[in-house]
Amino acid sequence: MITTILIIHGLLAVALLGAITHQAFSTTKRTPAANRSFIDKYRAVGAASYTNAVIVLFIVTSIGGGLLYPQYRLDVRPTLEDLGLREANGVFEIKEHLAAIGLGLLPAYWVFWRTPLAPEGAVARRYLTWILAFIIWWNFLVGHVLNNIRGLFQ
Amino acid sequence: MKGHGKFSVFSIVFGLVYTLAFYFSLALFKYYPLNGQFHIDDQGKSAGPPISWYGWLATALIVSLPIALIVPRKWADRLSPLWAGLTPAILIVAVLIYEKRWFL
Repeated sequence: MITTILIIHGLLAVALLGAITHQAFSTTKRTPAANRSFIDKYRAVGAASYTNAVIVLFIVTSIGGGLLYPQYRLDVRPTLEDLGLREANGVFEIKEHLAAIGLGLLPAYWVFWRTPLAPEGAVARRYLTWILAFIIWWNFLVGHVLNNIRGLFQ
Repeated sequence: MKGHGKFSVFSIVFGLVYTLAFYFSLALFKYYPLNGQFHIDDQGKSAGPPISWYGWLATALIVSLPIALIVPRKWADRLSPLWAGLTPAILIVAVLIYEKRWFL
């Protein structure tokens, strides 16, 4: 059961990563159509349409993380302590705090991405989206490293 | 920008209360995964390691939700949208500074 939740948690995180990265890049300055590079095309998306998907995926992925947490606390964390991998526990502590801050900022993120987009909310929208992107990237990378840590640090 | 205030207030207060809750270990409850029980009071070593994260989230929620609902919309909308973006950034920096203890 735990393995199933872990795989679903990882797959949802991949979808979340893709959605938030597209949206975050879309908040940066755009270049004229004639000079568009691959990156310009990557960010030229209907960014507002990602908002609800990001919120739902973030909440569901966090619930998955919450369900996996007891197993981590009982099995993984003591193993990391036995292996002397104190830093690994540190990055996980940061992961849990960032997930909480991310959950809390979702209502503000939603309201600033509500269409029609308010020009006076553009700065807050950009900040919130990039902060959420940072949180999701951190949590994704930390989750994967911790999941594979026994193979990585033998 | 109209209509953002209550949502921004919720997000700001939630983040602040969560950060204070974990810094001062103020969890509404703790979960003991070894015996699968929630407790308000700290349990002995025989109960195994606790998880405070759920309790910190609950603490943040029960404080921030009523505040966001009670604060008058006019007042909330006076809040600059910038604070909704700046506050979580400041909190993340605070978390990173506090958690550097793991890497020393």
